[in-house]
Amino acid sequence: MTGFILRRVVQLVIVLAIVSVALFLLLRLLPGDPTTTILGTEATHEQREILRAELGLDQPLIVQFGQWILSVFNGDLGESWITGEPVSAVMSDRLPVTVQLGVMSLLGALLIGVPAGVLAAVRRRSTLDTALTGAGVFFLAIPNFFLGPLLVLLFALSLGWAPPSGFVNFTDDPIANLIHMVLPAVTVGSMVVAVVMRQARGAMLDSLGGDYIRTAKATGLSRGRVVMVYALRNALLPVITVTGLQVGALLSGTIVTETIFTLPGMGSLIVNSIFSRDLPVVQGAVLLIVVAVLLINLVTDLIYAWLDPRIVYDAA
Amino acid sequence: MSLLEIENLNVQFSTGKRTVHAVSGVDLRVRAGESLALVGESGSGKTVTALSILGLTPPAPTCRVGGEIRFSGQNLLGLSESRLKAVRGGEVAMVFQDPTSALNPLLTVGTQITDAVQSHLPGRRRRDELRGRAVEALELAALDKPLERLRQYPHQLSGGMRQRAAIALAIAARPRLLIADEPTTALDVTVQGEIMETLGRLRRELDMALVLVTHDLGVVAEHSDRTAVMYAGRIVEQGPTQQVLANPQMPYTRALLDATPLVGAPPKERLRAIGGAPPDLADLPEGCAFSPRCPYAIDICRTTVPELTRRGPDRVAACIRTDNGLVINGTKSPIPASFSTVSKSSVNPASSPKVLARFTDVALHYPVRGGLLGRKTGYVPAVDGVSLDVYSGNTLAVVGESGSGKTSLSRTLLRLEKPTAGLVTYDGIDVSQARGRDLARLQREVQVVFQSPYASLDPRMTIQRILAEPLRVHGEPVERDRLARLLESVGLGEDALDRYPAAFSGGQRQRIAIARAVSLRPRLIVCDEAVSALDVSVQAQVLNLLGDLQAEHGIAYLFITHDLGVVRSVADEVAVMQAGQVVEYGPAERVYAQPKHNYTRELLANAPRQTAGAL
Repeated sequence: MTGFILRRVVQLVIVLAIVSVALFLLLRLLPGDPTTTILGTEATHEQREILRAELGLDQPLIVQFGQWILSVFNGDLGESWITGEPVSAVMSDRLPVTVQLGVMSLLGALLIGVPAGVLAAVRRRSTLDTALTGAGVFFLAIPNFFLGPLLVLLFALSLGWAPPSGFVNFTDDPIANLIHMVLPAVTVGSMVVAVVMRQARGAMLDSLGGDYIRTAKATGLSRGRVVMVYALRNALLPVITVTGLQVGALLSGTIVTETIFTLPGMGSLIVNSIFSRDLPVVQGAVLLIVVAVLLINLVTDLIYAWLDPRIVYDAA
Repeated sequence: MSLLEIENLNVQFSTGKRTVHAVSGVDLRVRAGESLALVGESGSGKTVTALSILGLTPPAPTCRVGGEIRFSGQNLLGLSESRLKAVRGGEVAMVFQDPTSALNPLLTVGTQITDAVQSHLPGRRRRDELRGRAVEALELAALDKPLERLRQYPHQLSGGMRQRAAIALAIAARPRLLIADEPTTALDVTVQGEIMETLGRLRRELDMALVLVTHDLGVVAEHSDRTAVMYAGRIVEQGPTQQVLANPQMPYTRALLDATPLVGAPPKERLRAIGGAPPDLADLPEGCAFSPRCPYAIDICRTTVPELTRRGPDRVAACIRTDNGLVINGTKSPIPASFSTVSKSSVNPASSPKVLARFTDVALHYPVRGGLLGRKTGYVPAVDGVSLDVYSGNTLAVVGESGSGKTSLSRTLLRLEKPTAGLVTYDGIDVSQARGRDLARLQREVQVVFQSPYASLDPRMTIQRILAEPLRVHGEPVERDRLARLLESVGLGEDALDRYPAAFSGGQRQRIAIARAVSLRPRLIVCDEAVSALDVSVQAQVLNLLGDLQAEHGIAYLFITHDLGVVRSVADEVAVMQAGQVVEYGPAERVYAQPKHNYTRELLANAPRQTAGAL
């Protein structure tokens, strides 16, 4: 197992290296001059040149990249071009919001999606199955930049059950925090819940049709035990794979959703920083998200081995 | 009193507009402690009959079960789910064909058995009590080191051990009736006997009745008191096993006996195959379902469904001809004529055969990767130093159990694997190095027929396209006439060309696969378990076909199989493989008559030698 983790960490470093090069170059391809956004259109040529030198933008690209990557290795993500704050400090304010949004939507998706999929499979071809499958297709089809405003219109503006936007710190007022997060979490999680449910239903049908389920029934086990232990455990394997893959989609969902609901998270930070050409912040934030996605996929594989005794990562 | 009484059992499956009559009017009785064999080919309804006893058929409206199944006087059909639960495992238990898929891969053997024990005990039991019972069950099923087995997962056990674990699971709650559905079919030959022996011992020790569902008449002869033969969803003959096998009253039973390939049969003799294919259960012929294939059928057989009539104490059979005095006992069913128009005498066995393909010290090692960079850390020797010759126009049978390396060896000849060491040559060409014209010759002259005709034909291609493909690849003309002649040579009509594989039975599909293999007039065909997936009656047809094609065209076969009986009718030479090595190699006559290696003797001892006559 340690050999496997080590191998995966090596892979992770390689992926990170490729991503950081691509990220750095792509951001340099953005149209517009950062000095214009920082100094405004009125600034003189000399003023801009001074700022350019200050930010190191007058150096060749390769030198700029080298300086950035060296400082990243030293744990220094640089400073914001706009506010001068360290990038890590900017992110440490924003990260908890996105983590909370991600965890809430993922947990919600699993807690609703898995039981709904199991139910649909057990009651296959019933009205309930049709309704659940239909709802799944609906949420899969509706993009979150559309669902978000729709939810705001209905639950915030018409019914007044939840605030349309804004954020309250959990430590300041836990209840207000949760109320503010419900609509964004639903927006982000809607697509994931649909994917999880469909996968759970399909995997459960496969599993229920398996020979080992017939054996379990033939030994006189109760229906509950057959479904919940003998079938579900096997069905969870593909569900976990899909969930791991969905984390990436989920994080990109937070970018749109945080902007819609004006949540001060990583997503809105990235969007705002791109608009203001605050490249060090964009680089730091995207790098952090990439690391998170890679680590979550590693964890997925480890859960896999834990659930399925047949999976041994280190062949003797 | 009978322990189990089945009366007028009818099972129908409905899919769309089709209604399949899987079981029609079956009556069966099993007495306490008795062993009843339920015999038939795939699709005869034997497994469905077994599953309906436990209420394990699919739910309505897909599947409808009618009639009565009484166990100790209680009708099991129509029992509530909770009452049925008590019967399942507690009174009637079942062992399935494939122990690999029948056990839950994610739960330990111990968990699965203790679950079964617990579900038949009132109240929650202490863990060690349950474990004690599980160990007892494993010991009864003759699984060694039961305490260790409890903690193991199914994939950590061998095939035979898995089936023992499945048997332990079935008997854990001490049922009074055990249904074993093809319990040895998925296992290696040498293990089959031991498993049957264990089932027989358990029956005596636990005073349990046994319903043995099987297609293997050898197993029937040795392990059952009474036999019921099923055909097309009906019981066509029933009685004491010895009488049924020695003196069958139904031509189907006779034909099944005759078609079984035996190691004791004369070498290279045509098998007595049953012509035709089993009927479509959604569209049964009028009259006796066997009449289209029956050599004794007369007009009345084609219009009237025969009733089961008494043929002595405890014996019934459903055949109008034998009921009216026809004696089929002793008269073997006629050997079917060959498909080919060329008479057998046209082959020229006198011309000394030359070596066509040669394996010289062939080794094939599969690497095992590990470590930080996935380096090779070791290897598995699938084939280890094998030297064999295939002569032109002859058949070399390579016999061995799963994992013996026989298929890996054949793959080196097909260029699907490159040997790690040694040399594979075909007619002087080094197979792994072949280029250009040599390669083209190799690909044309060496063909293959795989085990499963369900997997080896593309379901989305018509038969015409399937047959034309190799011709097109090699730039040959593909007129419809030529394809029709190809089909004719394997006993199929031209109308098959426009249909898809799904329209054909397993035996017909394998004929199509053979037609594809012979389309380029190959000189060597690798038959990798080419008849193992087929029913006995169809298996004999295909073996005869292969023999005819060899006689007509002088094709050589490299015949890969686990069954020494099957190759008796085709093999000129036999090589027995074990753990990647050839342990015995010689002319078929010699190997069958005087096996030198212990392993060959063991294989022969476990193969069906004779079924009926000498009982």
